[in-house]
Amino acid sequence: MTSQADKIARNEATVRAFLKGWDDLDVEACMAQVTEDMCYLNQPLEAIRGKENVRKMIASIFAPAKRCKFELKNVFGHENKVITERVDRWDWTGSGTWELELKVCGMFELTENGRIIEWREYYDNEDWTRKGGPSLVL
Amino acid sequence: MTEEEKVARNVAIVRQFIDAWGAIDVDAAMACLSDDIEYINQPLDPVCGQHDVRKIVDGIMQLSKKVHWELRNCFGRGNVVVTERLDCWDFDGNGWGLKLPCIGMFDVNDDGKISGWRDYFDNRMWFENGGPTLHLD
Repeated sequence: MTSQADKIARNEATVRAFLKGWDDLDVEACMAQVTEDMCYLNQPLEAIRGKENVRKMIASIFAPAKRCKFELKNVFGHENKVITERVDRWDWTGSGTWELELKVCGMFELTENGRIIEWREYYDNEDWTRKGGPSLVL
Repeated sequence: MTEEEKVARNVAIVRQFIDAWGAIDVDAAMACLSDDIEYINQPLDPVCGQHDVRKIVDGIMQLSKKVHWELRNCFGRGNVVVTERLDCWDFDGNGWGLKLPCIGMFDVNDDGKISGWRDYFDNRMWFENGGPTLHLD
């Protein structure tokens, strides 16, 4: 039987692995951490449901990106939730500079077996689109 | 104070702050904040210190007929507390004209006062549905 503290540590590790997948622009590394029925919600846009749709969405964000680095300001879990407070940095054109530095919070919910079933992102959508972020709608 | 007790104390002060918003009580809200409070509505510029933060909080409260922040998640670690919320605003007496999904991160100092408050939300959703200015002009 896994203790509650172990479970929280495992959940945090899953979320860190998922976000590392973004740093590496590696869709499959991300998808390895999520459930088939995962829900990805960019507030205030429409939710994207199911692994296949989420894969498509993430791949289409990675497609124009040259480099990406998520700075983790705070990561901590509680019960089946993990909060991440981040600065997501993007280089879209290969300029060698971070063209977009997005301040964002992501709340993750995990299943009993430690997979991400829901991901809710909170950020300023205009800040994303104005600085080169691609469409976040399928 | 154990780590657990500290987190419980931090969560309690954040809940008290949120209750003050529901009561539209600027003094009760400001009593939860440190003198050197830093308030950031991402991605806008920070507003710092009791004096300036009070102006913003008071300005928003003056324009609010009713406020209810539905707390969806609230938990802490170390000196940080997260609140995942649906902030419901009635600016004109005609019901909840704005329901804003939001995450607020709070830093709580050793004295148990909130010294950092960072809200993350869609600014367009706020401003296009009656939300007043969030910076000092």
